[in-house]
Amino acid sequence: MKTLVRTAAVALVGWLIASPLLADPQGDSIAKAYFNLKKAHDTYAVATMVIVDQDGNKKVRKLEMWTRETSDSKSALTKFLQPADVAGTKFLTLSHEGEATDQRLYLPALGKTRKIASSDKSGKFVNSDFFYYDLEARYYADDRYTFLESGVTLPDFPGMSFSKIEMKAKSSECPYAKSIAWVNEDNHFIYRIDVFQKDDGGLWKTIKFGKVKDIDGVLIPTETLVINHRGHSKTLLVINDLRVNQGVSSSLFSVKGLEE
Amino acid sequence: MRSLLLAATLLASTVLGMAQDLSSEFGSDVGTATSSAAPSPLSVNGDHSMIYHQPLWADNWSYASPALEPEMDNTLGFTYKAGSLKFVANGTVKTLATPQDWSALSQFEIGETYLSWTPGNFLVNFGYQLFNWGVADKFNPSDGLNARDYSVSMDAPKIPLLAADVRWFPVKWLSVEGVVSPYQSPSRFPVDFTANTQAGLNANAALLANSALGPYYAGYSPQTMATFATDNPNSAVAGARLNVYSALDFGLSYIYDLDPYDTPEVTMKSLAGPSSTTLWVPGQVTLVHKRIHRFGVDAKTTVGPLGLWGEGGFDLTENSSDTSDQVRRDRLAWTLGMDFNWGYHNNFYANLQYIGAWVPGYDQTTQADYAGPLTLSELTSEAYMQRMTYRQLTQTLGDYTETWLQGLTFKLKFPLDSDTLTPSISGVFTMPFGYDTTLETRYGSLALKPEIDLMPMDSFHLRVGADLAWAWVKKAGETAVTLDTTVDRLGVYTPYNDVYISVDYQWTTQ
Repeated sequence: MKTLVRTAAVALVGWLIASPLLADPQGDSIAKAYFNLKKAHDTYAVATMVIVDQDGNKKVRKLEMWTRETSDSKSALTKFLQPADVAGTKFLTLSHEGEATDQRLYLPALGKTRKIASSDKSGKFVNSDFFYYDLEARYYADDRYTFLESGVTLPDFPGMSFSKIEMKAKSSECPYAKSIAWVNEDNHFIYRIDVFQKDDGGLWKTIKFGKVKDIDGVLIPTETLVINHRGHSKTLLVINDLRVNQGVSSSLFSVKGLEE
Repeated sequence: MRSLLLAATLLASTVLGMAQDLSSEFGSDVGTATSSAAPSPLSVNGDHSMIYHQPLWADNWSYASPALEPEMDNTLGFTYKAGSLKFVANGTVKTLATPQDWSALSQFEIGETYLSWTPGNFLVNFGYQLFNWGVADKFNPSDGLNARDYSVSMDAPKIPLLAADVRWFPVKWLSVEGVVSPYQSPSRFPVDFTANTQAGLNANAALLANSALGPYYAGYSPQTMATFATDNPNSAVAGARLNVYSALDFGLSYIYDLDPYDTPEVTMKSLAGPSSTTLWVPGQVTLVHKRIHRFGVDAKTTVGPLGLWGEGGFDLTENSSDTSDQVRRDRLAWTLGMDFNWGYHNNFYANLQYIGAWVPGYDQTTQADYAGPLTLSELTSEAYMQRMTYRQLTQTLGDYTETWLQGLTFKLKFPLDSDTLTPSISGVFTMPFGYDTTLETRYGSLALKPEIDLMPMDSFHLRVGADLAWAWVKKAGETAVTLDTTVDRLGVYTPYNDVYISVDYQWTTQ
């Protein structure tokens, strides 16, 4: 059955690429350049998440994050260190290209691991402006791309020139109608994404990637800012201690890693 | 050319450094908040809580129960990690305001305290542990390793079990687990089974003493004796579990357990009766905890927006093939459930479960069979009197009160304003079928727990809620429906119905 679904998915992707009405070679090319950027095999980071709600109340979460990537799979594990009532909570994301992402949450208070249902993926991750969907790994084949314009500048990133592309997810699980990405024309890295609501098409969130570090040719943003235009809240994720390609064990990305 | 490139790179770095400081939007103190480094190998944590119950049952305004006593808990713990080793220690000082004079009584209870080692694909834990087997929400027929404290609430918190636990993950999607514990702690109940058994025997003795044959029972004084020792080496328990993690998570388990409930062992006593006959009475009832084999199976998956699960447990009692009424029958229990999120950002949570249990061969005619007065031939038959005693005690002491139990449970949570305010309600309704209707007709049991959780700051909770339970029955010969507060497993909590207010603060140095 799984093979059948995969075959059908491949056939669908093939049809979309072959269709002259839907294909946008320039948009595809820009997206492909981003996805072809050198990736870290594994990373470890200690990060701080600052959430500011619409009333200006600030909440701080401290967390550890591990990632591991192969040619066809991406894994991520997040462990909360603070505050105390969520400390020890772990979140695992396992994705293989062309397959549904498996997300599991370990709740120490219950001593149990919970699978995340697809409807949860538009839910807020620990009340931040990140959705569970935002934490899923992305592959080139996940979206359809349309070139919008080039030579665009952004006030937050002076001196850079961007190409704008529109991205529409093929999966119905995506909570967004579409996304618009600003891709740096020099290093092909995405510095900003605007996502839009399904119901009225209005701007929902702006995601900016700042303080991009080049570590052995791998571009990694150490600040990610999400501005929720509808909820009037914002979330900043700052990476304090980043280690790249230090040999993170693959066994970490498993139920054992969640429950140990 | 090379220096030009270098200059351009430096310039770009400078521009990047200045322009991409997204944290500037968060004010001046964000730098302090986000300057954390790698966590220390040693972390200390604390949990401090106070709870006050206002009893709703007038007879219990004395607060004389672990479920109602005002209580302050102070938990302190630490975790130390070194490579593949981790040591976790937790302990709680419980301070209870005793109802007699409201003086504070403190006692220490050990929490999860264990040494953990993760060599390769193994996860080894040794110490006082909490095991959470099964996938259902609270109603876990396959989860029986830890003893539980039913005396404080229906939620029955688990009591840490001293055990060695080894989990092997030969591949990522499979784990095999083995647990051994040198001795099982006794569970705590809101009912004193020993005292209740003694009271029942005393009542029977009084009836006999007041009967026409009263003079022959004049010196009759039955005794009840409990045997459970907390450090009894014969109470060792063990378990094994296999888990498969895939699109459909699947688990099989077995526990060689010690029955938390009592089984009676009746020693008959002879008394001189009229016309040189011998009258037989239960002289001593010894309450023992027999072995119980628990077989469990569970599965869980997600389908679209739904989480779906099923869990079953089969309890095979010791000597279950014995049909002499001296041992309880086997029992099959199951839970089928689903949950989902909905509302703005899927913030709201709902959970619904169907629960059930079946006791094949449950004796549902005990009261009917012994409804009339005993004849002399029955009173002088040791076999008859012994069987009657066993039939009156064996099932009741094991919390067997019906052939079939069907029920529904639910839980609704409505986190509002970024979890600052979270109203919630959970409940369970059960309905018995196939029971002895000689003395009463049962109309089901209901437990409800509404709560409002106010969290003005992280890890600080102010909760106001209620613990409510009722079981409705109609006694034989009466027309009014009344509450059963002595036998029904939910109804026994009716006297402890209360409204509570609690404050809880947690901290950690991680």
